[in-house]
Amino acid sequence: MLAASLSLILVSGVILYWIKPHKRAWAGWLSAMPPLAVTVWQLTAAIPFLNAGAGTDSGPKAALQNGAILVERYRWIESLGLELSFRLDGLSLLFGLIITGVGAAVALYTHYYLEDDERQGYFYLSLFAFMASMLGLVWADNLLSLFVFWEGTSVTSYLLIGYSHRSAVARGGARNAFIVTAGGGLAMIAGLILLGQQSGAYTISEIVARPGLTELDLYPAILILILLGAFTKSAQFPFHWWLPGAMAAPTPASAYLHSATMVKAGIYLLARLHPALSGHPLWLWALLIFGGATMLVGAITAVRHWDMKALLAYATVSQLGILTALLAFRSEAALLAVVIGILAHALYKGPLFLVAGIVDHATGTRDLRRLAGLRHSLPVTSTVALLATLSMAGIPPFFGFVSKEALLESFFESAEHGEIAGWIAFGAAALAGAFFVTYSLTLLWEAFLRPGSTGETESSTRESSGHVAPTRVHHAPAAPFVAAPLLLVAMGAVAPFTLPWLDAFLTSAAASISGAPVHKHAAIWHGFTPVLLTSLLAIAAGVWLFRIRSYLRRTLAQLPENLRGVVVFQNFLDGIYALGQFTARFSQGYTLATQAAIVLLAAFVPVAFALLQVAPGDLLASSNVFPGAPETVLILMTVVSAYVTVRIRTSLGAIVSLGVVGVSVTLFYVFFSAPDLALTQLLIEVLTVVLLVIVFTKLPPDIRPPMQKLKQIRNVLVALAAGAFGFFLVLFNTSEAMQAAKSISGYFLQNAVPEGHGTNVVNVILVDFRAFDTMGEITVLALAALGGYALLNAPRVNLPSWTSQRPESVSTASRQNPAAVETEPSATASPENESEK
Amino acid sequence: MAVSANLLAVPVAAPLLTAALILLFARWGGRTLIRHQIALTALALCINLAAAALLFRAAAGQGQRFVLQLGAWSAPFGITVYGDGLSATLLLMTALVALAVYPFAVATIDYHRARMGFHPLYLFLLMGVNGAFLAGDLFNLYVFFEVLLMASFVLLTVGAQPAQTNSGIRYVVLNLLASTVFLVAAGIAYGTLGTLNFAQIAERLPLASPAVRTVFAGLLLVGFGSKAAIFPLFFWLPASYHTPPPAVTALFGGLLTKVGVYTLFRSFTLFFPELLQDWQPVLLTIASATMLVGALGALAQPGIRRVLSFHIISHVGFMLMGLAVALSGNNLAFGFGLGAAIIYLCHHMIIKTALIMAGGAVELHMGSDRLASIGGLVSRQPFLAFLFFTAAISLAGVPPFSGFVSKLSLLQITLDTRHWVVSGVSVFASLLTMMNMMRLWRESFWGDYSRPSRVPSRILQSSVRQRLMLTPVAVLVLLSLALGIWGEPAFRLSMQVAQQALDRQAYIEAVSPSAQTSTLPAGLFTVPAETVSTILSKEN
Repeated sequence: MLAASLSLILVSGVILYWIKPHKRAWAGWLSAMPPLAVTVWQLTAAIPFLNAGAGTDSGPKAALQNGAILVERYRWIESLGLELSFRLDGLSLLFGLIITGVGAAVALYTHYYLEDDERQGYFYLSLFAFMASMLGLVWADNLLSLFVFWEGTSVTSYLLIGYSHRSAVARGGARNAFIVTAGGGLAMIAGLILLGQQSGAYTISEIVARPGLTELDLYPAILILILLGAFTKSAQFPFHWWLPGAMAAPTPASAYLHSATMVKAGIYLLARLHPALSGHPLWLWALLIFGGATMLVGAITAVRHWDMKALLAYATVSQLGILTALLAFRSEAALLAVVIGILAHALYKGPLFLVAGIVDHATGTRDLRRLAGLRHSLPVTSTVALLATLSMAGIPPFFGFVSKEALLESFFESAEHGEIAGWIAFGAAALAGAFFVTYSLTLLWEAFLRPGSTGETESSTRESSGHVAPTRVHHAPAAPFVAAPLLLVAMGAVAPFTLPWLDAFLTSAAASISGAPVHKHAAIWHGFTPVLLTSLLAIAAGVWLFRIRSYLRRTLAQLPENLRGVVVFQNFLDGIYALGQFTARFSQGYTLATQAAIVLLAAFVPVAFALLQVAPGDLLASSNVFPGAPETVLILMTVVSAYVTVRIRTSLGAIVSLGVVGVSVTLFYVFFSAPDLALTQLLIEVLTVVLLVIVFTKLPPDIRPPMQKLKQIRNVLVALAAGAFGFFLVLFNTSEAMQAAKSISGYFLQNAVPEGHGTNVVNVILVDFRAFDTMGEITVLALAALGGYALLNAPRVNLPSWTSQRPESVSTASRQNPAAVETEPSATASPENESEK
Repeated sequence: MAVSANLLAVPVAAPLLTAALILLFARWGGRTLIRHQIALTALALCINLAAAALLFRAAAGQGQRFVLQLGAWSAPFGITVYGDGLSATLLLMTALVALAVYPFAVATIDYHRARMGFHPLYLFLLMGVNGAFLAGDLFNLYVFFEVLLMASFVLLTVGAQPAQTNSGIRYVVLNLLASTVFLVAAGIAYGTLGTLNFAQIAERLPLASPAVRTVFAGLLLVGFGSKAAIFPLFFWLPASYHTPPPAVTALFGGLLTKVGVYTLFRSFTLFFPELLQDWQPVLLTIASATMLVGALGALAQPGIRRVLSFHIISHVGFMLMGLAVALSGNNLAFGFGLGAAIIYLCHHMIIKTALIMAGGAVELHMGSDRLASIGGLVSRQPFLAFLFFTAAISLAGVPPFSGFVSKLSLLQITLDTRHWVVSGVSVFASLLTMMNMMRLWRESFWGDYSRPSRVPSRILQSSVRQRLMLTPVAVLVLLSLALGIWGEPAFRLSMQVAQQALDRQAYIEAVSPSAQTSTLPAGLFTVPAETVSTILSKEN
């Protein structure tokens, strides 16, 4: 059923693409059906299980199935440990229900948000593909298949964020989000592989049941790599900034991906691996420090923003930080608080995003400076906003309050046990809680409650124009449009009063995180405790901060720009692109002579190393190492003419002396009794000289500029290396000490006549023994002829369609910016073809 | 169906004979003649694919080794043509790539280039590549390197646009230099080991002095490495790949460097497997540098094809990394690294070709492939956009495509052998690959629609040509998906191929060069009658 559900979602996406939903009024309702069906199915599958387990903490059924409601396995790539296995337990169920439940609402909403945008089908396709990946991610019971779905969410979210691809902001946001999350994902896969290899299994439920993983020598590496993946995905400090950047996505995508589901994937992973990896000080402090930093940075930054979505994004960052910090601990209270936090957040933050979308849609803006008095023009939407915001602020008796109480209590509990970590977390959470109240009130007041009038002195900050009229609504939202957030927020409002029924569900999720049954229960009222006092103090502080919010905004706006994550990241990218420019210059900027020199020097390296391995005497162990008189003359001739070729200033002279070099080499063949080779060589030399002379008479007379001194020295060195290369290789070949075995050439001499029926051994080799080679060489000649023919018949005009590659275009390339995008750094030059002069 | 060793001749003979036939009549007729040329070429490509598939089934699937002694001259005196799983895999991939690019080439190659022999050249290139994969003799390998070098050089320059000729010079000079290094190595082999036959070199090399082994292996590494475009010998590639028509770039991108990679695989596993351990740090350093340079350099390239072709270098680094750890492995199976490298090689050939063709289609629509001046194609060409995107994410290693299987397996082996640095480099290079792919996507498909050329291309006015262009891309993308979805059988096959390639004793026995030389008397030597008859019976 799990796999079938995934397929259902995927196929529905394709169907929604095909039916062109922007033309069908009913498409919104239709699109909500598949996720709804999966929600209902999950509930029917889970309820008997939860009932059985609820009474006794470990009911017979729970014991029977080892905590899993459902397990499905499909073979995929066993050799690599990759198995498509799904396992539905309390935690997966919690996430699965959020994904499909919020998914159904978002799907319905999307149709009205995008209205008649003709790319609506494409959006649905990406959205459903994302939903399927996300479901697969939380259901997966194999580290590698979890990664498969993890990547799926990265890619689909890239497409969703970049949906409005005409806007540079959307493109930039999509790129940043993708690079950060995909980069983290790559680090994570390394960590997951190591974890799988070290624990001996890739199946999560097996790994989790395995004790002692924290004592592995590779544990720190594994943990850091996995945390990189989880922190980037869940927007933890210092990677948190990509999430606000991703707000360029259409609002349904923001609501769904960036508050309810995808950003919690990292939290999910940490919760999933909690039994295996937690308990080590490194785990505790890494999660606590980064989670705490995230919650504070997010909460404080949220106050600063005017854009409703940006405010909500930072609020989400803060909430994610809280969840991470909670996961640092192992107490039942903390794990239960995680579960409640996840659910509560999905039920208030999702609707708030959707509300922001409705406001945007209706008024054309999300800017708090330009919004006012929406409660009159959008009454239902404002009600939704009110309920959700109060929950977000943690005002009793909303679900957010339950969540905040649970969180503070769990931290307090740790603190009471004398853990310093508990105190730190408690303080940070209380501070963050105050800011939660502040930005919730800000959002509520400025957009919905405040009367739109000229007398808005309090909120008339420097930035605002000082005059906020009640925002006009030119586009009243349709009923189903508002229904989506309304349903979600209603569930959130009811939740605190149905806790006894929810309890089984929440504790089973917490039990999956801890790996053991959880006896703690969620409650709306804990009595008059220090925690409650703190909570009330935080609310009071939040209200005070709300009153001085214009001061806060001014102060926060003065923070230096280059502290911002986006800027730092852009600098990092600029660095990488600069490195790319450098690499390209190295690879393409040199002259042919330099590149050839590098190849020659590379070839000399093995020879040099071989010389270290051999005794000098061995190389000279040949009878005819030292040249006789005729050879000495020839050698001198060759050397002198080669020197002249290099030094002479005219082309013609160089050609002639090159010919002399060739002829001298030919004479060597004569001396070493290879007349056929000598004849061939002579022919080639003569032809070369003739051809060169013909070519050079066509060229304008050249006076070669004197070479730079440095280049001269380099060339001399390269030439010496090449000479040494040849010299030592000849020694290798002639030295008897180096002969490992008898040559097979004797066979050819003996068999040319009896077997090959030819008296010229070379000919027999060419046309019989190794005729296949000759056939190849003939082909090469034919090809050369063909190439010459094609070059001589070069068309006078430019050929169609590939003409943009002329050298001119290269020179334009160097003027323009090759990277050439809104966000990419300015690159200076295209290094190609700038040499050869 | 039993496969005869004679089938080894087909991948060389079919393209050669067809090309020769076409050249015979090349002077007569106009466009009708070109149509006949196309039909003949397509036929040869299909025959080649069929032969490759048959060989693949027998050699890779059933683990057979095929040996063909040409002219019935027994090894090591004649030329041995040898085909095993590794050769057959490469042959099959080559056949697929060649057949897939051809419709694209037919649709986009202009009349002038066709008149100048584009179609026979295409076949000659295929012949050269195939011959190199089948060579069982060092000099014969050199000959096929020459064939493919010459064919690729002419394909690169046919049309003779200034940029083409300019880059052709760089291409041919650097490649000839590499060939020369390789030829010197062949000379060393003949001078010190007295033979050119692969099997006999493998047999005799352990007897040679370590200096000889160093020189021989080092020169082969430089020569083959140049062909494979490893660091720092890759200069010929970024200088040339973007100048010919996209069809040629796609073919080059799919095939050329792979010959170098294959020869590296073959020589290291057959001649000096012990160097995979002794030289491992060197090989891993080269691999890391290659991965990084390829991915980094691609970031700075201004055009689609330049990005894609520069990026080939990075992939070669990945394959070399797999080779370097071929014999290592703590908990993973023997030859895991080579198996991973082989599946990476297949993945790369398929998807790189598809991407370059898709990029070529973009170029055709826009009239340019300069990223700075194009954009917004996604709504105009949704199908092309879809293909490009899927191909790009496959290349970037996103599941469930082939890129994921290959990258995952490579990462598993490097982590298993605890090569932290090279693992880290490969992960970073993968991230850079993603950045590269996303950059291409963002610049050419997203943003406002802008096309620099106002003249609509004639090619796009024909729907047949459009389909010819995009269908092969779609087929290759599907293949990549299939390789990912059926990753288990694919990976198992590639492991089998790897283990077969690592079994050098079986290679030597299959060719058995010493059967003749050990009986070589001091005086006159004749082949025993029964050997001849067994060879003849093997051929029939």
